[in-house]
Amino acid sequence: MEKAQLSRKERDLTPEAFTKFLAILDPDPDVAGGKYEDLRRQLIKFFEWRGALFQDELADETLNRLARKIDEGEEIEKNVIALSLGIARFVFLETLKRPDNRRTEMKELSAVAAPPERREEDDDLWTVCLRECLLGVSDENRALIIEYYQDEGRARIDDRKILAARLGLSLNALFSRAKRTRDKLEECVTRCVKRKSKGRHESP
Amino acid sequence: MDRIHTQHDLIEHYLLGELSEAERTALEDEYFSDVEKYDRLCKAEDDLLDRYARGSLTGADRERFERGYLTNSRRRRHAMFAKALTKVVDEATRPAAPQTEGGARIERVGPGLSWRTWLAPPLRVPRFALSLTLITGALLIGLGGAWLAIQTSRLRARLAESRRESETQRRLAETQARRIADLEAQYKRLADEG
Repeated sequence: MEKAQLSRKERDLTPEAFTKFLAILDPDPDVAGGKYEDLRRQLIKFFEWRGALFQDELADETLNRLARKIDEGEEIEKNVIALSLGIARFVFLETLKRPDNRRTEMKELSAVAAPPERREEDDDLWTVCLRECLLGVSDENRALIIEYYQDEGRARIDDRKILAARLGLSLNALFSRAKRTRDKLEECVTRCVKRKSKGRHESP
Repeated sequence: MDRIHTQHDLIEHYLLGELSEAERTALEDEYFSDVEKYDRLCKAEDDLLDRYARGSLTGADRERFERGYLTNSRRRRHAMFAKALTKVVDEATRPAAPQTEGGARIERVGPGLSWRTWLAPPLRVPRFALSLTLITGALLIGLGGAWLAIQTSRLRARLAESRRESETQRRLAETQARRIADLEAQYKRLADEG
């Protein structure tokens, strides 16, 4: 993937500034690390839902700017999330103005317009990879993901209530658990598809 | 844009990029600062993806989704993954007995079912074929046994009948032999007298 053209100054962050940022998130470094990852995930989603490209890099850029602001002594009036969102919106607006971003969009669009005969083959590859990745998940989480995402509409809602009651979890806790497993599986499947596609194209 | 009736509609419009900048910013401020609300956004996105993957969106909604949602590679990756997930989930939950209630669906994929069975469909076919062969074999043995029993019974009946006929023939032969002997004795006596 092409890197977003961010200046070196924008990307660099001193360890002191980063430590100060973590301390704002939580006094316990382990808890702070977890909160940092959660915040990063949320920012990636923000950029994704805004339709931006290179969401990971834009999220990192947002976090770096936030850390620098904290290091420079900026007071956090509401909460870290609110401040991050404000910065993220600026970062997003900047990407819209960048000419290289438009060029990449064209490249992205050409990927959407793949010939239809490739699509079915790709579908199979994703399914094959998902089966492989499911074997690497614990039995408990495998059962959870299948039960959680079965059916649709009313039946799905009822099933989830039954499943939550059986596991002694609230519906929100059940969703978080299923979602974590789903996200991990998607990452595993994406890596697997990339690996297999590369092998397929390299073979004669 | 359609009128927004519920929070769910609002979220869907957000995910499809159909809100104004002001509406979008308001929704983000509200939903990103509350963990439960943020989870609701993620859940709505997964549900939308799964409905698309299962082909249950209407033609118009499908078009909206493809135009408004599939706008970058990460989102297309979500869609491809959702297709694979719904396919594998549907396969895993299909083979069991017909559904009677919500709980029945849960039971289908419960601990009793071997996940490796459905994760490797090529292995399922020989197992099914083996079961079919065993059932057919058992049926053939059962039918063969019944046929043999019937045949044995018939043969026994025929044997008994033959024995009875043989006994009758033997008795008839004895009677006739006695009559012949009587007639010979009678003939000899008449010849001696004459």
